[in-house]
Amino acid sequence: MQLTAEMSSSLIDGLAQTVPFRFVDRVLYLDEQRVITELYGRDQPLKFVAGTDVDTYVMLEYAAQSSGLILRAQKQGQRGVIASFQQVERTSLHQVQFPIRLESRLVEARKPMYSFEFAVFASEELIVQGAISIFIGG
Amino acid sequence: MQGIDLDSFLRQTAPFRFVDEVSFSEEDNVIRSVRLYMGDEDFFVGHFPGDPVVPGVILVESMAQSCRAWLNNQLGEKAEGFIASIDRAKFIKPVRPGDVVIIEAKPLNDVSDLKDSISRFCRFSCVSKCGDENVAKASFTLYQHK
Repeated sequence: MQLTAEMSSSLIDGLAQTVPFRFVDRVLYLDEQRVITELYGRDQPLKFVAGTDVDTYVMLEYAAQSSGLILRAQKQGQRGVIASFQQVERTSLHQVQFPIRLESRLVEARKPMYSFEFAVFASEELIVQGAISIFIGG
Repeated sequence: MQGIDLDSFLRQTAPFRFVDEVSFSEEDNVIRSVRLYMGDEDFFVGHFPGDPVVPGVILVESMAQSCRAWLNNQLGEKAEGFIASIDRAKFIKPVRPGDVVIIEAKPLNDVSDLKDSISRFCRFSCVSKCGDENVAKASFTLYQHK
């Protein structure tokens, strides 16, 4: 479902990660299989985002925190941690600027391990795509 | 083991430098790095409040910085770049404040032909350890700007 700004803020406030290591600014869409989020980077200290280029690690953590939103019902007070990344590919060799948008889709649920495929876009251009597995209980 | 001067070959500086020492054994073709997580790193504040754990993506960045320092040393310059792809990165055990992480990385392709190349990609296989225990493994490709 499409989310209002208030619903988005409530979901983000529920993340285990807090500033300065929170990498989701807006949740646009969320259901049990799919999430779409945006990251503006404006509240990130420069020390975590060198210059104006968005580093690969930022997009990886962004993928993890966004995908974790899909699992909020399964967590039941437990924390999700990254188990692995697979087949991550940065498709553009240009510098990446904020804002960026991410779509992640749950592709396999084998409790307590959940796998997602994600794609990150900047100005509608695909920047990074890959897969992530999240373990609940870390 | 040949030590690599990080200030000469790594663009990242504190607080975004996640390796303390990097050296290279030509005999074994292994890059060895050390990182002590003191506990005062800023990311611990948010990851996680009251239960600090080194983020997995920082472990990947640390492995990448080790390899980037070696690659720049081989190329004789201080080039900028980024992780172009990750075949697989696996996180095995949490790393906490006070832990010393030892990284062993192997370059998987020759860099002698990269010096004059427009596209500079180099693949690496890495393992990060605390003591005798593996805490993370990754295989990735770095891209360096010319």
